[in-house]
Amino acid sequence: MNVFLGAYDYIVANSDRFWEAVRVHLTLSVYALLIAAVICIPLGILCAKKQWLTGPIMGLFNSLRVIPSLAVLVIILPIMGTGFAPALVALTLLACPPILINTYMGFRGIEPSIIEAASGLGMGPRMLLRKIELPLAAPLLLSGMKTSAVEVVASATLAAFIGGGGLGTFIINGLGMYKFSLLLVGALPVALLAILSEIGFAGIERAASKYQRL
Amino acid sequence: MSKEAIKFEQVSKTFPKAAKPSVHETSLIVPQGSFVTILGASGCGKTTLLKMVNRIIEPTTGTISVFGKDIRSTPVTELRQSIGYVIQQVGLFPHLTIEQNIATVPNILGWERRKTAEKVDYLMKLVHLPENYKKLYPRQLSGGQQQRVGIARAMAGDPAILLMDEPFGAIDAITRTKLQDDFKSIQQELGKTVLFVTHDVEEAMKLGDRMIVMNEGTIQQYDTPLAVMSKPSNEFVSTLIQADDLFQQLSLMRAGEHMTALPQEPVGADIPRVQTGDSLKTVLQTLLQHNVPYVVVENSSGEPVGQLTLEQLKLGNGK
Ligand SMILES: Nc1ncnc2c1ncn2[C@@H]1O[C@H](COP(=O)(O)OP(=O)(O)OP(=O)(O)O)[C@@H](O)[C@H]1O
Ligand SMILES: [Mg+2]
Repeated sequence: MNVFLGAYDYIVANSDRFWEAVRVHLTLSVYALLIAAVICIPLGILCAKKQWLTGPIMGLFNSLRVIPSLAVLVIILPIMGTGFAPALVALTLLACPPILINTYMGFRGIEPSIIEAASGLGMGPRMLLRKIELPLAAPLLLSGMKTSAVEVVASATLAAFIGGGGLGTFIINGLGMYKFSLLLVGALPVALLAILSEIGFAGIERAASKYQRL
Repeated sequence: MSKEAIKFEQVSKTFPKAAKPSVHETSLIVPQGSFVTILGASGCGKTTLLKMVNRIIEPTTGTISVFGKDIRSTPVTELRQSIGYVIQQVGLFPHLTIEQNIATVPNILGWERRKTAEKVDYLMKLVHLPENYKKLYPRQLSGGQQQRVGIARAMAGDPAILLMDEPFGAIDAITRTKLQDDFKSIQQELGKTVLFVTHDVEEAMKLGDRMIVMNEGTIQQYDTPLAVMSKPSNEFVSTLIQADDLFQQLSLMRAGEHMTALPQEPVGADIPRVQTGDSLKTVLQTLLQHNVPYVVVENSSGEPVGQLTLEQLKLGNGK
Protein backbone atom coordinates (compact mmCIF):
# COMPACT_ATOMS: atom_id res chain seq x y z
CA MET A 1 0.00 0.00 0.00
CA ASN A 2 2.91 2.29 0.72
CA VAL A 3 3.79 2.68 -2.92
CA PHE A 4 0.28 3.81 -3.75
CA LEU A 5 0.31 6.29 -0.91
CA GLY A 6 3.71 7.44 -2.10
CA ALA A 7 2.38 7.92 -5.60
CA TYR A 8 -0.61 9.82 -4.26
CA ASP A 9 1.58 12.06 -2.13
CA TYR A 10 3.78 12.75 -5.11
CA ILE A 11 0.84 13.77 -7.24
CA VAL A 12 -0.50 16.08 -4.53
CA ALA A 13 2.91 17.62 -3.98
CA ASN A 14 3.63 18.03 -7.70
CA SER A 15 0.14 18.51 -9.06
CA ASP A 16 1.29 21.08 -11.62
CA ARG A 17 3.84 18.74 -13.13
CA PHE A 18 1.41 15.84 -13.02
CA TRP A 19 -1.41 17.61 -14.81
CA GLU A 20 0.96 19.08 -17.35
CA ALA A 21 2.18 15.55 -18.10
CA VAL A 22 -1.41 14.31 -18.43
CA ARG A 23 -2.18 17.20 -20.76
CA VAL A 24 0.82 16.51 -22.98
CA HIS A 25 0.05 12.79 -23.00
CA LEU A 26 -3.53 13.40 -24.06
CA THR A 27 -2.60 16.04 -26.62
CA LEU A 28 -0.08 13.71 -28.20
CA SER A 29 -2.54 10.82 -28.29
CA VAL A 30 -5.51 12.79 -29.58
CA TYR A 31 -3.48 14.54 -32.25
CA ALA A 32 -1.87 11.33 -33.38
CA LEU A 33 -5.24 9.64 -33.60
CA LEU A 34 -6.87 12.53 -35.43
CA ILE A 35 -4.07 12.90 -37.95
CA ALA A 36 -4.04 9.15 -38.53
CA ALA A 37 -7.81 9.18 -39.04
CA VAL A 38 -7.68 12.10 -41.45
CA ILE A 39 -5.03 10.34 -43.52
CA CYS A 40 -6.11 6.74 -43.27
CA ILE A 41 -9.89 6.86 -43.55
CA PRO A 42 -9.81 8.46 -47.03
CA LEU A 43 -6.89 6.21 -47.98
CA GLY A 44 -8.79 3.13 -46.82
CA ILE A 45 -11.85 4.19 -48.80
CA LEU A 46 -9.70 4.77 -51.86
CA CYS A 47 -8.12 1.33 -51.51
CA ALA A 48 -11.54 -0.28 -51.20
CA LYS A 49 -12.71 1.41 -54.40
CA LYS A 50 -9.56 1.14 -56.49
CA GLN A 51 -8.35 -2.39 -56.24
CA TRP A 52 -4.97 -1.70 -57.85
CA LEU A 53 -4.08 0.62 -54.96
CA THR A 54 -4.77 -1.99 -52.33
CA GLY A 55 -1.59 -4.04 -52.74
CA PRO A 56 1.00 -1.27 -52.45
CA ILE A 57 -0.73 0.78 -49.75
CA MET A 58 -1.77 -2.11 -47.55
CA GLY A 59 1.69 -3.64 -47.90
CA LEU A 60 3.34 -0.42 -46.84
CA PHE A 61 1.20 0.01 -43.75
CA ASN A 62 1.29 -3.62 -42.79
CA SER A 63 5.06 -3.55 -42.78
CA LEU A 64 4.87 -0.50 -40.51
CA ARG A 65 2.81 -2.59 -38.17
CA VAL A 66 5.55 -5.15 -37.75
CA ILE A 67 7.99 -2.55 -36.41
CA PRO A 68 7.66 -2.30 -32.60
CA SER A 69 6.67 1.10 -31.23
CA LEU A 70 9.99 1.68 -29.53
CA ALA A 71 11.84 0.95 -32.74
CA VAL A 72 9.74 3.54 -34.55
CA LEU A 73 10.76 6.10 -31.97
CA VAL A 74 14.39 5.15 -32.27
CA ILE A 75 14.26 5.43 -36.04
CA ILE A 76 12.62 8.85 -35.86
CA LEU A 77 15.18 10.16 -33.38
CA PRO A 78 18.12 10.64 -35.76
CA ILE A 79 15.82 12.09 -38.41
CA MET A 80 13.81 14.56 -36.39
CA GLY A 81 15.68 14.91 -33.15
CA THR A 82 13.89 15.09 -29.83
CA GLY A 83 10.73 16.74 -28.62
CA PHE A 84 7.00 16.81 -29.18
CA ALA A 85 6.98 16.75 -33.00
CA PRO A 86 8.96 13.55 -33.57
CA ALA A 87 6.95 11.84 -30.86
CA LEU A 88 3.77 12.89 -32.64
CA VAL A 89 5.02 11.58 -35.97
CA ALA A 90 5.97 8.25 -34.45
CA LEU A 91 2.62 7.87 -32.73
CA THR A 92 0.74 8.84 -35.85
CA LEU A 93 2.55 6.13 -37.79
CA LEU A 94 1.56 3.67 -35.10
CA ALA A 95 -2.07 4.70 -35.24
CA CYS A 96 -2.35 4.33 -39.00
CA PRO A 97 -2.46 0.59 -39.76
CA PRO A 98 -5.52 -0.40 -37.70
CA ILE A 99 -7.55 2.54 -38.99
CA LEU A 100 -6.51 1.96 -42.58
CA ILE A 101 -7.13 -1.76 -42.56
CA ASN A 102 -10.45 -1.55 -40.76
CA THR A 103 -11.71 1.23 -43.00
CA TYR A 104 -10.78 -0.87 -46.00
CA MET A 105 -12.49 -3.95 -44.62
CA GLY A 106 -15.52 -1.96 -43.56
CA PHE A 107 -16.04 -0.65 -47.08
CA ARG A 108 -15.19 -3.92 -48.81
CA GLY A 109 -17.65 -5.70 -46.56
CA ILE A 110 -20.65 -3.76 -47.81
CA GLU A 111 -23.02 -5.94 -49.80
CA PRO A 112 -22.65 -4.90 -53.49
CA SER A 113 -26.42 -5.16 -53.96
CA ILE A 114 -26.90 -2.38 -51.39
CA ILE A 115 -24.64 -0.10 -53.39
CA GLU A 116 -26.38 -1.10 -56.60
CA ALA A 117 -29.80 -0.37 -55.12
CA ALA A 118 -28.65 2.99 -53.79
CA SER A 119 -27.14 4.17 -57.04
CA GLY A 120 -30.04 2.65 -58.95
CA LEU A 121 -32.38 4.87 -56.96
CA GLY A 122 -30.37 7.88 -58.03
CA MET A 123 -27.97 8.58 -55.18
CA GLY A 124 -24.85 10.42 -56.29
CA PRO A 125 -21.42 9.24 -55.09
CA ARG A 126 -21.24 11.77 -52.26
CA MET A 127 -24.65 10.99 -50.89
CA LEU A 128 -23.93 7.29 -51.23
CA LEU A 129 -20.80 7.74 -49.15
CA ARG A 130 -22.49 9.82 -46.48
CA LYS A 131 -25.81 8.03 -46.15
CA ILE A 132 -24.93 4.45 -46.94
CA GLU A 133 -21.27 3.52 -47.08
CA LEU A 134 -19.92 5.40 -44.07
CA PRO A 135 -22.71 4.30 -41.70
CA LEU A 136 -22.35 0.69 -42.85
CA ALA A 137 -18.57 0.71 -42.54
CA ALA A 138 -18.72 2.61 -39.24
CA PRO A 139 -18.70 -0.33 -36.80
CA LEU A 140 -15.50 -1.76 -38.26
CA LEU A 141 -13.96 1.63 -38.77
CA LEU A 142 -14.62 2.55 -35.14
CA SER A 143 -13.19 -0.71 -33.95
CA GLY A 144 -10.00 0.20 -35.83
CA MET A 145 -10.02 3.58 -34.11
CA LYS A 146 -10.39 1.81 -30.79
CA THR A 147 -7.36 -0.38 -31.41
CA SER A 148 -5.36 2.64 -32.52
CA ALA A 149 -6.46 4.72 -29.56
CA VAL A 150 -5.43 2.12 -27.01
CA GLU A 151 -2.15 1.53 -28.80
CA VAL A 152 -1.39 5.24 -29.03
CA VAL A 153 -2.27 6.03 -25.42
CA ALA A 154 -0.05 3.21 -24.25
CA SER A 155 2.78 4.03 -26.63
CA ALA A 156 2.68 7.73 -25.88
CA THR A 157 4.51 6.64 -22.72
CA LEU A 158 7.51 5.97 -24.90
CA ALA A 159 7.49 9.54 -26.14
CA ALA A 160 9.32 10.46 -22.96
CA PHE A 161 12.32 8.54 -24.26
CA ILE A 162 12.78 11.09 -27.00
CA GLY A 163 11.88 14.04 -24.84
CA GLY A 164 8.29 14.27 -25.98
CA GLY A 165 6.99 14.61 -22.43
CA GLY A 166 3.84 13.03 -21.13
CA LEU A 167 3.21 10.50 -18.39
CA GLY A 168 6.12 8.39 -19.56
CA THR A 169 8.46 10.91 -17.94
CA PHE A 170 7.43 9.65 -14.50
CA ILE A 171 7.96 6.07 -15.53
CA ILE A 172 11.45 6.74 -16.84
CA ASN A 173 12.38 8.71 -13.77
CA GLY A 174 10.86 6.08 -11.49
CA LEU A 175 12.84 3.39 -13.24
CA GLY A 176 16.01 5.45 -13.11
CA MET A 177 15.69 6.19 -9.41
CA TYR A 178 14.36 2.77 -8.47
CA LYS A 179 11.30 4.55 -7.10
CA PHE A 180 8.34 2.31 -7.67
CA SER A 181 5.86 4.89 -6.40
CA LEU A 182 7.04 7.41 -8.99
CA LEU A 183 6.71 4.78 -11.69
CA LEU A 184 3.09 4.30 -10.66
CA VAL A 185 2.42 8.02 -11.01
CA GLY A 186 2.96 7.48 -14.72
CA ALA A 187 1.75 3.92 -15.20
CA LEU A 188 -1.61 4.04 -13.42
CA PRO A 189 -3.02 7.04 -15.30
CA VAL A 190 -1.80 5.56 -18.60
CA ALA A 191 -3.58 2.31 -17.85
CA LEU A 192 -6.68 4.24 -16.85
CA LEU A 193 -6.60 6.33 -20.04
CA ALA A 194 -6.15 3.23 -22.17
CA ILE A 195 -9.12 1.54 -20.51
CA LEU A 196 -11.24 4.67 -20.83
CA SER A 197 -10.52 5.02 -24.54
CA GLU A 198 -11.30 1.35 -25.04
CA ILE A 199 -14.62 1.74 -23.24
CA GLY A 200 -15.40 5.01 -25.00
CA PHE A 201 -14.86 3.67 -28.51
CA ALA A 202 -16.57 0.39 -27.70
CA GLY A 203 -19.61 2.42 -26.68
CA ILE A 204 -19.68 4.42 -29.91
CA GLU A 205 -19.12 1.26 -31.89
CA ARG A 206 -22.08 -0.40 -30.19
CA ALA A 207 -24.27 2.59 -30.93
CA ALA A 208 -23.23 2.52 -34.59
CA SER A 209 -24.06 -1.16 -34.97
CA LYS A 210 -27.29 -1.14 -32.97
CA TYR A 211 -29.34 -2.03 -36.04
CA GLN A 212 -27.50 -5.36 -36.30
CA ARG A 213 -28.76 -6.56 -32.94
CA LEU A 214 -32.45 -5.71 -33.05
CA MET B 1 -53.18 6.25 -77.96
CA SER B 2 -50.32 4.80 -76.03
CA LYS B 3 -47.01 6.60 -75.89
CA GLU B 4 -43.63 4.99 -76.13
CA ALA B 5 -42.35 4.66 -72.58
CA ILE B 6 -39.04 3.05 -73.48
CA LYS B 7 -37.53 2.86 -76.93
CA PHE B 8 -34.39 0.96 -77.91
CA GLU B 9 -32.89 1.96 -81.25
CA GLN B 10 -30.17 -0.31 -82.56
CA VAL B 11 -28.82 -0.78 -79.07
CA SER B 12 -26.02 -3.24 -78.45
CA LYS B 13 -23.65 -3.94 -75.62
CA THR B 14 -20.23 -5.52 -75.76
CA PHE B 15 -18.38 -5.54 -72.47
CA PRO B 16 -14.73 -4.52 -72.54
CA LYS B 17 -12.54 -7.49 -73.42
CA ALA B 18 -15.58 -9.66 -74.21
CA ALA B 19 -15.32 -11.75 -77.38
CA LYS B 20 -18.92 -11.20 -78.45
CA PRO B 21 -21.74 -8.83 -77.59
CA SER B 22 -23.85 -9.60 -74.53
CA VAL B 23 -26.73 -7.87 -76.27
CA HIS B 24 -26.75 -7.80 -80.08
CA GLU B 25 -28.22 -4.87 -81.94
CA THR B 26 -31.73 -4.52 -80.64
CA SER B 27 -34.63 -2.21 -81.40
CA LEU B 28 -37.84 -2.39 -79.45
CA ILE B 29 -40.61 -0.28 -77.98
CA VAL B 30 -42.23 -0.66 -74.60
CA PRO B 31 -45.59 1.14 -74.73
CA GLN B 32 -46.67 3.25 -71.79
CA GLY B 33 -48.63 1.35 -69.18
CA SER B 34 -47.58 -2.06 -70.42
CA PHE B 35 -46.03 -4.83 -68.39
CA VAL B 36 -43.24 -6.37 -70.43
CA THR B 37 -41.39 -9.42 -69.16
CA ILE B 38 -37.97 -10.49 -70.39
CA LEU B 39 -37.52 -14.25 -70.44
CA GLY B 40 -34.48 -16.31 -71.24
CA ALA B 41 -31.87 -18.69 -69.93
CA SER B 42 -29.08 -17.61 -67.61
CA GLY B 43 -26.48 -15.42 -69.28
CA CYS B 44 -28.57 -14.53 -72.32
CA GLY B 45 -28.35 -10.81 -71.60
CA LYS B 46 -31.63 -10.04 -69.79
CA THR B 47 -30.00 -8.08 -67.02
CA THR B 48 -27.75 -6.26 -69.46
CA LEU B 49 -30.76 -5.22 -71.55
CA LEU B 50 -32.59 -3.99 -68.45
CA LYS B 51 -29.72 -2.13 -66.85
CA MET B 52 -29.03 -0.12 -69.95
CA VAL B 53 -32.32 1.69 -69.38
CA ASN B 54 -31.17 3.33 -66.15
CA ARG B 55 -27.59 3.54 -67.32
CA ILE B 56 -26.12 1.15 -64.79
CA ILE B 57 -24.71 -0.31 -67.99
CA GLU B 58 -23.90 2.04 -70.86
CA PRO B 59 -24.77 0.73 -74.33
CA THR B 60 -21.92 0.29 -76.76
CA THR B 61 -24.04 1.47 -79.67
CA GLY B 62 -27.49 2.86 -80.23
CA THR B 63 -29.88 5.09 -78.37
CA ILE B 64 -32.38 4.46 -75.62
CA SER B 65 -35.10 6.99 -75.01
CA VAL B 66 -37.61 7.26 -72.22
CA PHE B 67 -40.82 9.07 -73.14
CA GLY B 68 -39.16 10.33 -76.26
CA LYS B 69 -36.11 11.71 -74.53
CA ASP B 70 -32.61 10.31 -74.99
CA ILE B 71 -31.56 8.98 -71.58
CA ARG B 72 -28.15 10.57 -72.01
CA SER B 73 -29.70 14.02 -72.08
CA THR B 74 -30.50 14.09 -68.34
CA PRO B 75 -27.99 13.72 -65.52
CA VAL B 76 -27.76 10.07 -64.57
CA THR B 77 -28.90 10.60 -60.97
CA GLU B 78 -32.00 12.46 -62.13
CA LEU B 79 -32.78 9.76 -64.67
CA ARG B 80 -32.56 7.09 -61.99
CA GLN B 81 -34.69 9.04 -59.54
CA SER B 82 -37.43 9.00 -62.16
CA ILE B 83 -37.20 5.25 -62.84
CA GLY B 84 -37.99 2.68 -60.16
CA TYR B 85 -35.45 -0.11 -59.76
CA VAL B 86 -35.97 -3.41 -57.97
CA ILE B 87 -33.42 -6.23 -57.80
CA GLN B 88 -33.49 -9.83 -56.67
CA GLN B 89 -31.20 -9.23 -53.69
CA VAL B 90 -33.57 -6.40 -52.70
CA GLY B 91 -30.66 -4.31 -51.39
CA LEU B 92 -32.50 -2.64 -48.52
CA PHE B 93 -30.33 -0.40 -46.39
CA PRO B 94 -29.82 -2.44 -43.21
CA HIS B 95 -29.04 0.54 -40.97
CA LEU B 96 -32.23 2.39 -41.88
CA THR B 97 -35.78 1.64 -40.78
CA ILE B 98 -38.42 0.46 -43.24
CA GLU B 99 -39.86 3.96 -43.25
CA GLN B 100 -36.47 5.53 -43.98
CA ASN B 101 -35.77 2.96 -46.68
CA ILE B 102 -39.00 3.78 -48.47
CA ALA B 103 -38.33 7.50 -48.11
CA THR B 104 -34.97 7.25 -49.90
CA VAL B 105 -35.95 8.95 -53.15
CA PRO B 106 -38.24 11.58 -51.52
CA ASN B 107 -35.30 12.45 -49.27
CA ILE B 108 -32.93 12.75 -52.22
CA LEU B 109 -35.50 14.97 -53.91
CA GLY B 110 -35.85 17.03 -50.74
CA TRP B 111 -39.58 16.61 -50.28
CA GLU B 112 -41.30 18.19 -47.29
CA ARG B 113 -41.57 15.87 -44.30
CA ARG B 114 -45.36 15.83 -44.36
CA LYS B 115 -45.46 14.86 -48.00
CA THR B 116 -42.83 12.15 -47.51
CA ALA B 117 -44.61 10.72 -44.48
CA GLU B 118 -47.91 10.59 -46.36
CA LYS B 119 -46.23 8.90 -49.30
CA VAL B 120 -44.67 6.28 -47.03
CA ASP B 121 -48.05 5.56 -45.41
CA TYR B 122 -49.72 5.30 -48.79
CA LEU B 123 -47.05 2.97 -50.20
CA MET B 124 -46.98 0.69 -47.18
CA LYS B 125 -50.72 0.24 -47.53
CA LEU B 126 -50.35 -0.30 -51.28
CA VAL B 127 -47.85 -3.12 -50.90
CA HIS B 128 -49.75 -4.60 -47.95
CA LEU B 129 -47.26 -3.93 -45.19
CA PRO B 130 -48.69 -3.37 -41.71
CA GLU B 131 -48.25 0.17 -40.50
CA ASN B 132 -46.36 -0.87 -37.36
CA TYR B 133 -43.49 -2.15 -39.53
CA LYS B 134 -42.40 1.41 -40.18
CA LYS B 135 -39.93 1.55 -37.32
CA LEU B 136 -38.53 -1.94 -37.88
CA TYR B 137 -35.23 -2.68 -39.58
CA PRO B 138 -34.97 -4.78 -42.76
CA ARG B 139 -33.52 -7.83 -41.08
CA GLN B 140 -36.59 -8.10 -38.88
CA LEU B 141 -38.70 -8.83 -41.97
CA SER B 142 -39.13 -12.00 -44.02
CA GLY B 143 -37.78 -12.19 -47.57
CA GLY B 144 -41.19 -11.58 -49.09
CA GLN B 145 -41.86 -8.60 -46.85
CA GLN B 146 -38.44 -7.19 -47.64
CA GLN B 147 -39.23 -7.29 -51.34
CA ARG B 148 -42.51 -5.49 -50.66
CA VAL B 149 -40.42 -2.76 -49.07
CA GLY B 150 -38.12 -2.89 -52.10
CA ILE B 151 -41.09 -2.28 -54.39
CA ALA B 152 -42.46 0.50 -52.20
CA ARG B 153 -39.04 2.14 -52.13
CA ALA B 154 -38.78 1.97 -55.91
CA MET B 155 -42.17 3.62 -56.30
CA ALA B 156 -41.69 6.42 -53.78
CA GLY B 157 -40.61 9.00 -56.31
CA ASP B 158 -43.71 8.32 -58.45
CA PRO B 159 -41.74 6.86 -61.35
CA ALA B 160 -43.72 6.13 -64.49
CA ILE B 161 -41.38 3.25 -65.24
CA LEU B 162 -40.23 0.37 -63.06
CA LEU B 163 -37.27 -1.84 -63.91
CA MET B 164 -37.25 -5.15 -62.09
CA ASP B 165 -34.53 -7.79 -62.23
CA GLU B 166 -35.89 -11.13 -61.03
CA PRO B 167 -37.52 -9.43 -58.04
CA PHE B 168 -39.26 -12.60 -56.89
CA GLY B 169 -36.48 -15.00 -57.86
CA ALA B 170 -35.33 -15.74 -54.32
CA ILE B 171 -38.76 -16.08 -52.78
CA ASP B 172 -40.61 -19.32 -52.01
CA ALA B 173 -43.36 -20.40 -54.40
CA ILE B 174 -46.36 -19.59 -52.25
CA THR B 175 -45.15 -16.15 -51.23
CA ARG B 176 -44.09 -15.50 -54.80
CA THR B 177 -47.56 -16.17 -56.17
CA LYS B 178 -49.03 -13.72 -53.69
CA LEU B 179 -46.42 -11.10 -54.54
CA GLN B 180 -47.02 -11.56 -58.26
CA ASP B 181 -50.77 -11.14 -57.88
CA ASP B 182 -50.41 -8.11 -55.62
CA PHE B 183 -47.84 -6.45 -57.81
CA LYS B 184 -49.76 -7.07 -61.02
CA SER B 185 -52.84 -5.40 -59.58
CA ILE B 186 -50.77 -2.46 -58.32
CA GLN B 187 -49.29 -2.07 -61.78
CA GLN B 188 -52.71 -2.13 -63.43
CA GLU B 189 -54.23 0.22 -60.91
CA LEU B 190 -51.49 2.80 -61.23
CA GLY B 191 -50.79 2.28 -64.93
CA LYS B 192 -47.05 1.91 -64.41
CA THR B 193 -44.84 0.76 -67.26
CA VAL B 194 -42.88 -2.26 -66.11
CA LEU B 195 -39.88 -4.01 -67.61
CA PHE B 196 -39.45 -7.23 -65.68
CA VAL B 197 -36.67 -9.82 -66.00
CA THR B 198 -37.38 -13.42 -65.08
CA HIS B 199 -36.20 -16.85 -66.07
CA ASP B 200 -39.46 -18.43 -64.99
CA VAL B 201 -41.69 -19.12 -68.01
CA GLU B 202 -44.82 -19.17 -65.93
CA GLU B 203 -44.00 -15.86 -64.28
CA ALA B 204 -43.21 -14.23 -67.62
CA MET B 205 -46.55 -15.33 -69.06
CA LYS B 206 -48.63 -14.62 -66.01
CA LEU B 207 -47.38 -11.09 -65.44
CA GLY B 208 -46.56 -9.88 -68.90
CA ASP B 209 -48.92 -8.16 -71.29
CA ARG B 210 -46.11 -8.77 -73.67
CA MET B 211 -42.99 -10.82 -73.29
CA ILE B 212 -39.51 -10.65 -74.74
CA VAL B 213 -37.89 -14.02 -75.27
CA MET B 214 -34.11 -13.76 -75.45
CA ASN B 215 -31.35 -16.14 -76.38
CA GLU B 216 -27.63 -15.40 -76.54
CA GLY B 217 -28.09 -11.67 -76.64
CA THR B 218 -30.79 -11.48 -79.28
CA ILE B 219 -34.53 -11.12 -79.02
CA GLN B 220 -36.21 -14.22 -80.41
CA GLN B 221 -39.77 -13.04 -80.04
CA TYR B 222 -41.55 -10.02 -78.61
CA ASP B 223 -45.26 -10.60 -78.38
CA THR B 224 -48.16 -11.34 -76.07
CA PRO B 225 -47.78 -14.45 -73.95
CA LEU B 226 -50.59 -16.04 -75.86
CA ALA B 227 -48.97 -15.43 -79.21
CA VAL B 228 -45.64 -16.67 -77.93
CA MET B 229 -47.31 -19.75 -76.59
CA SER B 230 -49.43 -20.49 -79.64
CA LYS B 231 -47.13 -19.22 -82.37
CA PRO B 232 -43.55 -19.52 -81.18
CA SER B 233 -41.37 -17.76 -83.73
CA ASN B 234 -38.71 -20.45 -83.83
CA GLU B 235 -37.38 -23.68 -82.44
CA PHE B 236 -35.72 -22.00 -79.48
CA VAL B 237 -38.87 -20.29 -78.30
CA SER B 238 -41.01 -23.36 -78.63
CA THR B 239 -38.48 -25.46 -76.75
CA LEU B 240 -38.23 -22.90 -74.01
CA ILE B 241 -41.98 -22.63 -73.65
CA GLN B 242 -42.63 -26.33 -73.85
CA ALA B 243 -39.86 -27.05 -71.45
CA ASP B 244 -42.35 -25.92 -68.90
CA ASP B 245 -45.14 -28.07 -70.38
CA LEU B 246 -47.57 -25.22 -70.46
CA PHE B 247 -49.55 -26.65 -73.34
CA GLN B 248 -49.62 -29.94 -71.60
CA GLN B 249 -50.86 -28.27 -68.48
CA LEU B 250 -53.54 -26.46 -70.43
CA SER B 251 -54.60 -29.66 -72.13
CA LEU B 252 -55.01 -31.29 -68.75
CA MET B 253 -57.25 -28.58 -67.31
CA ARG B 254 -61.02 -28.60 -67.85
CA ALA B 255 -63.00 -25.52 -68.72
CA GLY B 256 -65.65 -26.39 -66.12
CA GLU B 257 -63.09 -26.23 -63.32
CA HIS B 258 -61.70 -22.84 -64.23
CA MET B 259 -64.64 -20.83 -65.58
CA THR B 260 -66.05 -17.82 -63.78
CA ALA B 261 -69.61 -16.54 -63.54
CA LEU B 262 -71.23 -15.18 -66.68
CA PRO B 263 -71.62 -11.43 -66.95
CA GLN B 264 -75.06 -9.99 -66.15
CA GLU B 265 -75.71 -8.63 -69.63
CA PRO B 266 -76.96 -11.10 -72.24
CA VAL B 267 -74.27 -13.04 -74.04
CA GLY B 268 -73.67 -11.95 -77.61
CA ALA B 269 -74.66 -14.47 -80.23
CA ASP B 270 -71.27 -14.22 -81.90
CA ILE B 271 -69.44 -15.45 -78.80
CA PRO B 272 -68.17 -18.98 -79.38
CA ARG B 273 -69.09 -21.75 -76.98
CA VAL B 274 -67.13 -24.58 -75.42
CA GLN B 275 -68.15 -27.53 -73.24
CA THR B 276 -67.39 -27.83 -69.53
CA GLY B 277 -65.43 -30.94 -70.31
CA ASP B 278 -63.25 -29.25 -72.96
CA SER B 279 -59.61 -28.68 -72.13
CA LEU B 280 -58.21 -25.19 -71.70
CA LYS B 281 -56.09 -25.88 -74.74
CA THR B 282 -59.26 -26.15 -76.79
CA VAL B 283 -60.52 -22.98 -75.15
CA LEU B 284 -57.31 -21.22 -76.11
CA GLN B 285 -57.58 -22.37 -79.69
CA THR B 286 -61.18 -21.19 -79.85
CA LEU B 287 -60.25 -17.82 -78.40
CA LEU B 288 -57.48 -17.39 -80.92
CA GLN B 289 -59.43 -18.61 -83.92
CA HIS B 290 -62.34 -16.30 -83.27
CA ASN B 291 -60.25 -13.45 -81.91
CA VAL B 292 -62.68 -12.74 -79.07
CA PRO B 293 -62.05 -11.60 -75.50
CA TYR B 294 -63.93 -14.54 -73.95
CA VAL B 295 -65.82 -17.75 -74.62
CA VAL B 296 -68.98 -19.05 -73.03
CA VAL B 297 -68.82 -22.40 -71.29
CA GLU B 298 -71.94 -24.52 -71.63
CA ASN B 299 -72.89 -27.70 -69.83
CA SER B 300 -73.80 -30.98 -71.47
CA SER B 301 -77.39 -29.86 -71.97
CA GLY B 302 -76.25 -26.76 -73.85
CA GLU B 303 -77.03 -24.16 -71.16
CA PRO B 304 -74.42 -21.40 -70.63
CA VAL B 305 -72.92 -21.84 -67.15
CA GLY B 306 -69.80 -19.73 -67.17
CA GLN B 307 -67.17 -17.89 -69.15
CA LEU B 308 -63.42 -17.95 -69.71
CA THR B 309 -61.27 -14.99 -70.80
CA LEU B 310 -57.80 -14.77 -72.27
CA GLU B 311 -56.77 -13.05 -69.07
CA GLN B 312 -57.85 -16.04 -67.03
CA LEU B 313 -55.96 -18.44 -69.22
CA LYS B 314 -52.88 -16.34 -68.82
CA LEU B 315 -53.26 -16.14 -65.08
CA GLY B 316 -54.64 -19.60 -64.60
CA ASN B 317 -51.95 -21.64 -66.22
CA GLY B 318 -50.05 -23.91 -63.93
CA LYS B 319 -52.60 -23.68 -61.14
N1 LIG C 1 -19.85 -6.42 -66.11
C1 LIG C 1 -19.66 -7.37 -67.03
N2 LIG C 1 -18.46 -7.54 -67.61
C2 LIG C 1 -18.26 -8.49 -68.55
N3 LIG C 1 -19.21 -9.35 -68.97
C3 LIG C 1 -20.43 -9.25 -68.43
C4 LIG C 1 -20.72 -8.26 -67.43
N4 LIG C 1 -22.02 -8.39 -67.07
C5 LIG C 1 -22.50 -9.41 -67.81
N5 LIG C 1 -21.56 -9.93 -68.62
C6 LIG C 1 -21.75 -11.03 -69.57
O1 LIG C 1 -22.83 -10.71 -70.41
C7 LIG C 1 -23.64 -11.84 -70.64
C8 LIG C 1 -25.07 -11.54 -70.27
O2 LIG C 1 -25.14 -11.30 -68.87
P1 LIG C 1 -26.49 -10.92 -68.14
O3 LIG C 1 -26.15 -10.65 -66.73
O4 LIG C 1 -27.17 -9.85 -68.89
O5 LIG C 1 -27.32 -12.27 -68.25
P2 LIG C 1 -28.73 -12.63 -67.64
O6 LIG C 1 -29.60 -13.03 -68.77
O7 LIG C 1 -29.22 -11.55 -66.77
O8 LIG C 1 -28.39 -13.92 -66.79
P3 LIG C 1 -28.97 -14.41 -65.39
O9 LIG C 1 -30.29 -15.04 -65.65
O10 LIG C 1 -27.96 -15.41 -64.92
O11 LIG C 1 -29.06 -13.22 -64.50
C9 LIG C 1 -23.04 -12.98 -69.86
O12 LIG C 1 -22.28 -13.76 -70.74
C10 LIG C 1 -22.15 -12.30 -68.85
O13 LIG C 1 -21.02 -13.09 -68.57
MG1 LIG D 1 -29.56 -11.39 -64.67
